[in-house]
Amino acid sequence: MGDNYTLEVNNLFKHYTQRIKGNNRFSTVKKTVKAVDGISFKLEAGEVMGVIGESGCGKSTLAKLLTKLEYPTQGEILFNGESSDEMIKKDRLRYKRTIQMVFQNPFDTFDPRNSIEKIIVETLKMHNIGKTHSDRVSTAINAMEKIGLSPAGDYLHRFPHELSGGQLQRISILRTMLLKPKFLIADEPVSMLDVSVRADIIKMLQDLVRNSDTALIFISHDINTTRYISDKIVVMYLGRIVESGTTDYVLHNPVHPYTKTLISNCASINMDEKTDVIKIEGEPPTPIDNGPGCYFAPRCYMKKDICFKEYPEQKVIEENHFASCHFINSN
Amino acid sequence: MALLSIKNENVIYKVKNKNIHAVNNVSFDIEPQDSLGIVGESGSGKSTLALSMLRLLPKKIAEVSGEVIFEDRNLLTISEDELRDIRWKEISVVFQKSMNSLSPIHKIGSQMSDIYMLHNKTASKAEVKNKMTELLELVNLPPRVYTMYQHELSGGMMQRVSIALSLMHNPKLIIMDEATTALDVITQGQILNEIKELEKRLSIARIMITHDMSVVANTCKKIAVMYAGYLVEFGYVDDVISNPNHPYTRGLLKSFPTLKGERGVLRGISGSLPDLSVQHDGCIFESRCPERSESCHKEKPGTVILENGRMVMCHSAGRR
Amino acid sequence: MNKSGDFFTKMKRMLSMINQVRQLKIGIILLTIIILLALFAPLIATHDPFSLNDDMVNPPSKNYLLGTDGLGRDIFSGILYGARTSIVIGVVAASISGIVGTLIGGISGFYGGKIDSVVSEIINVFLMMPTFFLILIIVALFGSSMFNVMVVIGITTWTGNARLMRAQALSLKQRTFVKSLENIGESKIKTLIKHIIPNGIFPIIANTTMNISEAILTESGLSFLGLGDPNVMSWGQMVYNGKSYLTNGWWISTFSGAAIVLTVLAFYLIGDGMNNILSPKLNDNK
Repeated sequence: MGDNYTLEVNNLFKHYTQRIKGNNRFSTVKKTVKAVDGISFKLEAGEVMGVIGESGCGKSTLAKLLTKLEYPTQGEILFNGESSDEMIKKDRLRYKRTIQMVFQNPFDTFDPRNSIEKIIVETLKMHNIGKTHSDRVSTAINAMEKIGLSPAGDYLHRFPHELSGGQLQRISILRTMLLKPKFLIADEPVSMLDVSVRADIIKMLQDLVRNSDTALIFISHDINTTRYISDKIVVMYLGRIVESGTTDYVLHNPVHPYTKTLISNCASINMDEKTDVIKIEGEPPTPIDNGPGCYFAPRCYMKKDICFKEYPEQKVIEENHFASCHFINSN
Repeated sequence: MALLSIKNENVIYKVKNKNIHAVNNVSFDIEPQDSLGIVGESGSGKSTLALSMLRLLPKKIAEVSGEVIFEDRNLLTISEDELRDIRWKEISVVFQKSMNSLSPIHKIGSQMSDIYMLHNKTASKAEVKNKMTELLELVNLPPRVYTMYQHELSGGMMQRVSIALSLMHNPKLIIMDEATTALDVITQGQILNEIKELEKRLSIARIMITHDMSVVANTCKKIAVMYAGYLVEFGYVDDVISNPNHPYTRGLLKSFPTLKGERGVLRGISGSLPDLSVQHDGCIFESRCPERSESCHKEKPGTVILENGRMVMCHSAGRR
Repeated sequence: MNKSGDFFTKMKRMLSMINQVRQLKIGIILLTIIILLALFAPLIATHDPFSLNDDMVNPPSKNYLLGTDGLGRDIFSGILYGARTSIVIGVVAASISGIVGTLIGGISGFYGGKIDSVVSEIINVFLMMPTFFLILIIVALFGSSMFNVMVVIGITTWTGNARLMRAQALSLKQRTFVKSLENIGESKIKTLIKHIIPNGIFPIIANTTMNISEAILTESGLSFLGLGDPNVMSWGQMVYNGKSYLTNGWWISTFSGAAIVLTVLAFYLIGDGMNNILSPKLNDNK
């Protein structure tokens, strides 16, 4: 720990080919689904990056690419300048220890036939942590007590279906913690949990970042929660980053029309926070056949001819605040 | 006069020799053109309450007692035929996945017409088609949806069709059970706005069941907070959110991060839902309550009625 | 302590489940009786099933409970010893088919890609082949020892199991927990063996039980055609032997045939009952 670990993503693409129904009933047409369409960012140790966007914006695909559950069509992922492809070829388990992921659905994260003890101990064994079985069990017990699952002995012999969503999600985070990852991706980690336990999970993730300098990528559609936890925010639309920057810059001074719409539609419990909702047309589209213009143009409330002709370049708004729109004056 | 008034309603599920008290002694009124949000976590009995009002729970396992008075009729005792008339015509329900109940191989329009014809058997074809296009327009859907199939619609469009269906017979009350939960932020925001405008125009009362307090804060006049089958707090949204009186409501509000202002300490509510199959002597929230005292353990709190129709079920309510 | 308590509650749950499904209950009772009879055959049998004697084609009587066959062998004792052969052949053949099918189906479904397309084609080829005639040819070529018969039945019927397991693997690999295992660093082959197969095995077990009854029928069919192992007592052979005495000794074929029917029925009921527990849709209808 302490060493400055950085994650660098350069021009990452992930395209799928999909057959969809053609003009008549029997013909199919091959279409390219651009799930992730050219993404670059940089993340340093101890930083928290929030990724927000609607379903279909490619945020989950990005998570899978980073953890190598899927492989990119193009582009590279570098850890401290070292190519991730090289790393995983050399030592698969070391790569897994570098970057870990917490899944959205805690009820299905574990093999339903394994007890909690088996789930944790097998993970430790796989990564050669601890020497004997009892060694690993006591590691598991210690870690569980630390996150408030005590007495841990009570939980060890239970099966996933006997625990609540909040408890399972804590165990899921704990399991990744035991591997001491440098980077953690949390893909909508609280969206399936009850409101009263969400805060605990968020706090647990925050502690993890503070105590072990782990960098966190927090993927969510919930802007309020993302704001709470992250240092910087990336707004994605149809596989591309439309706006990014320091959390408060982006959320309090959004410049991209999509970010503005997203924030204005976000319900809040604060009664005096009510703002006028920006209305846009259409439904969230699928990432097929976009462009050549700005992907958001068909739904945008300030579209002009130029928006349909070319994709806007990324512009610098202020320090650490970038957006891609034709109608932004860059400084 | 109240449009719908619920008096001392109880729902008990009988499963495997256990009696699970899903709804306990809930009473409240809904005025015409009111909008009420029922919030609570999973297992709080909010959906059970709504379904039981229309007797939609399986009779074999659910035992409902109390009174649900809708325009001088007790929905829990009237005959099955009468109830069928009220459902959809006067009270309609939109579920989270309403569209799943429609057939994937028939066009949206023809299914909508079929449903319409169930209650209006004499309507002519042209008349029905007109009415359907009108309905689709009402929820901001293009007329081409009439000839589309279920799988060609996005989640937001499907939910709009469900809302259109529920508005078909100009109901007086519409119940939305997590109707916008699964939708994207923007779509949800837009649909909620449309609903607000629609009910003004058509003078409909609405009950909104959700776990998302912010949705209620933005779209409802009144709020009912449920916990473990009890109605713990009830009142106008502005009152409840700016000055929550029950510790559970306070806890829920503290678990929500806000978009602006300081990033205060986010706090969850420790512990978990109590076992609803055993009787509790004291307050149901006692085991998780940060402000519990001696009497909370021994005695069930009564419902304290405060100004402005506010109801709170807590020993310390009104004393502060 | 905790674990043993768990075990008992599980047993209790299983028993109550068995009680609820009628087919399963009847099937298990029937099978238990058959297995007990087969196990204690030497104690129960009244005669040596192979010993010839002078009372040829005797009808059922006090001495020969179910009569004797054309060579004077006691039918009752023959059926008892034959049960051993039938059950062993059925269980072993179906197990071979189950194991081979599970492995191939699991690999095919879980790994996907080219392996999957090749295996799927092989399965299709096997499905189109008239299995019984294939078995006939192989037994005719390689001899009709009990071992041959078991192996041949096993390797010609694995396709059904492979298809089931492939479907299971395809759906299981979409589950979050399989992705989470990959994320945590579990290797593919271990994921398959430790997680995919155990979670998807239940329909295979149900199907294998049904396959046992089919294997018993196939073996009887082979024996009836004179292609069974001549060194062991088998029900198919007994039916075959009784064929020529049908007019004056109905009991020979009838009782051995009834034994086949009952055993096949027992396994079939158990398999069907298990399927019933498996699919909640069928359960609801009851």
